[in-house]
Amino acid sequence: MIPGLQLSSSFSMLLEILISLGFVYFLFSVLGSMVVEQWSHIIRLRSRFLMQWLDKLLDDPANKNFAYLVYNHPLIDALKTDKNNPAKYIASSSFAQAFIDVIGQQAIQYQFEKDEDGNWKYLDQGHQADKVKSFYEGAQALKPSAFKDLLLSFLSQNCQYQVLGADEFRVQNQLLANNGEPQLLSPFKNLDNANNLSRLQVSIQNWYQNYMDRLTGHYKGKTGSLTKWASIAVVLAFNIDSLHLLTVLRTNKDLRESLVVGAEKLVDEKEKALTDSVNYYSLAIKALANKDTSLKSSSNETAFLNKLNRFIAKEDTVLRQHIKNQEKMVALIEAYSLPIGWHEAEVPLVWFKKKGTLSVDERKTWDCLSLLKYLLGISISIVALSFGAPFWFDVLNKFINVRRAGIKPKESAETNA
Amino acid sequence: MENRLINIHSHVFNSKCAAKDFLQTSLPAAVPEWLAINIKSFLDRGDNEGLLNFLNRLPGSNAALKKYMSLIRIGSESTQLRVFINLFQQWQKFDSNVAIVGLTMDMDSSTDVENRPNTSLETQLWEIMDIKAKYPNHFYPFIGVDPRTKSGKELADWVNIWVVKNKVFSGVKLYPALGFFPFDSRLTELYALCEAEQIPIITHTTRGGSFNTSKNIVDLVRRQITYCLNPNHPNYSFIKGLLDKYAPRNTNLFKRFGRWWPNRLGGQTNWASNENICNLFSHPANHHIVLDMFPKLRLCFAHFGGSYEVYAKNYSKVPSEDGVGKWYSLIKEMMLKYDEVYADLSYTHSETEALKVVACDMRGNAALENKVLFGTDYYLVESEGSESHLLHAAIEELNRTPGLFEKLSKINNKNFLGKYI
Repeated sequence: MIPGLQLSSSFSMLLEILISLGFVYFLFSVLGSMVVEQWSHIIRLRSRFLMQWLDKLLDDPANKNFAYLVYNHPLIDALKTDKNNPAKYIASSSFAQAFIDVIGQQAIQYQFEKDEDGNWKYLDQGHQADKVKSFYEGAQALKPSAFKDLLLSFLSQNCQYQVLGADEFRVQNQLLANNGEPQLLSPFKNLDNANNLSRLQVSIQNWYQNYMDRLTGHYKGKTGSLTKWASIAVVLAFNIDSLHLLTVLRTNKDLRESLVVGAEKLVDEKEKALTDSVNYYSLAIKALANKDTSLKSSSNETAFLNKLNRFIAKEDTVLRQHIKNQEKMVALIEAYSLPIGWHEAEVPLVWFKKKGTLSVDERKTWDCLSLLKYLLGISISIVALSFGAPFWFDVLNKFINVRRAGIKPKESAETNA
Repeated sequence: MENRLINIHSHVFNSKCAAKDFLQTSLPAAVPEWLAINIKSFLDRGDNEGLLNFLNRLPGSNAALKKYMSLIRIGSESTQLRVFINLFQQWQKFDSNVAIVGLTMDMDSSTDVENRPNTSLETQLWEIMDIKAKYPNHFYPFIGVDPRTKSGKELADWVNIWVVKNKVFSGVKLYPALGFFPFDSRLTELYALCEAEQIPIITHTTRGGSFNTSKNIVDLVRRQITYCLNPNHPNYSFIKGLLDKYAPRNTNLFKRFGRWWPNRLGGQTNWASNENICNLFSHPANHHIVLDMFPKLRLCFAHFGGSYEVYAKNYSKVPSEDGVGKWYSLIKEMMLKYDEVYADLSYTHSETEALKVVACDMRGNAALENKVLFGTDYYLVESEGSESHLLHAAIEELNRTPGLFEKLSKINNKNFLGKYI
């Protein structure tokens, strides 16, 4: 052993405490993000968000709300999970197809007539085979607006076409009439039949995709604010007092070591993973895989939440899966026997017990200072959890690297022996 | 297409077509605007099936709540087509050849700018045209107009294209309670066109229902009066009198408190609410002025003034500006005076007591009997009972005079629609 590289025992203990605390924060942050996911599913946040944003993008007050029409297009309507639940995600190709159709239909002049028998007939103008042409005519049929200009710019910037002037259009029709050929119905001439449609589609797809990227950013912001609320809910549900946790971690070596082992396994699992994308829930489950969950899987506080969850998720399979994962996570955390939760012998419930039954532990005696300390501990936990699982994973990663740099590798120790 | 059942008054718009604060028209006045907007936003999403099922399972869930839930369930359908099909299938059980008149409403100006509907009138009408294309022999929509959206010649030309030329719509729907007077000078060209082309007009005539939810309703009424009515007109003093008598004197006080405590403002009693102030717009006497100018106008007073006006029940909410029962009498007077004035029994049919009164008044009065129409006001009437249940009850009640239901719903309705069916 090289003395210069050996960490002092007090620094080693400090590092272990920090790793243990970081690991606890990580586990509960994952739980918080699961709560956010579950809540987002219940309130259908993703599909609502998409609908609201498409509404902003496609509502043209001078004309129509094209978002409403796009949502009712068969391609998009088919994406509903049931008759009243709109799509959570619309692929850019589907959107572009539906959008081109909707705009193309704007040139339709609905007309009806009554036949001799008194039956009403819709005078169907037929479907325009040339979708680029119908897109142009649909856009032209709209009242002047910025949205109309945008539609026409998709064509002018990406497609090759010609629009005949009024005189030229008349002359051409005259020539066709002289030759006995059918007349031109529109001054629009598609000059590149083979490629114009795909170019138009790609430009609309790009426009939509750029917008969706912005939407994703805003969605993350929205779920970020939900995470703060979820942190409060998790901290209160599990009564996580950081100051008390810190005290116990300082004195309970076994707990500290088991948490450090868990944290190391977590970091190792990430290194084993081949992809860059991280599912913190799966990582946590793998890291805790060997914990015995049989003893503590149904404590008082979780039993009530489980019952409530099962009631909420009665008829929803996706939600049931969310809840199953959540229960698994809670059971694994509980297997560590952390100094958290609502117990009569613990703060704050112990403060309400009759005098004489109090323990000698001064923390368990009610006074302003202990109340302030408790509230401070709870607040620290809320702030810590609101940083989110990715933050705590990075912190753990760094601390464990520092620890590993200071500890002699097992193999070399064995070799020396 | 002869002798078929016609529902002269129904709605197929969904909640997306209504103003964002539309629910203020049906929730208690104490419910704040923000809450009404949020509840509607929730209903618009259409993902309320779970909540409705949950409420349905609650032990205290009573029949009234279930009726409201039925109204919500239909209104929150994602498309107007679905709302129409729901109605069409129910009426097909009575007559496979049924004709449904669907009344659209221009709700774009029914509230303040920030609370306008997500789905504008243009979008609503576009979807209606598509339903008409799918069901040309069963669906006869009316085009909703408001002189604040389009007016004068522009409005008349627009109606001319869609009703007379393209024949997509079969008539015109007016909803004055949304914030305009029927005698608004911006409607003159439209009335001239409708009179010349015998285009049927249905105008909402009942206290309550939907109304303008703008925060400055008093200013709106004053502005409309000043803008629309020539002081030399013989009815000017009548209309001005109504306004002076009933509109709150202290506008600022009204703005602050009137919406939430409509009955507690000293001296202003019931009139300090949008709902009651909007009765100024709907008052049947307003049409006297129009009919003086266009005596051949084909006009139908929807709901016959409302059931409590029909059977003159001492309805506590009715401000007695001219006595309960006055609206019904006024409408009957106009029906007898003008050849082309009609009234329909929609919504009013949900109270058999009111049907009894109308049936009694029609007996022996052919002039009146030929001008009463039958409609249901689907789906807004769901809060009173299911469409088919109310229809069965109305048929039973009307047919105490043999063949009366068939006469109203087949012959009278057809005569009113004329060449547009």
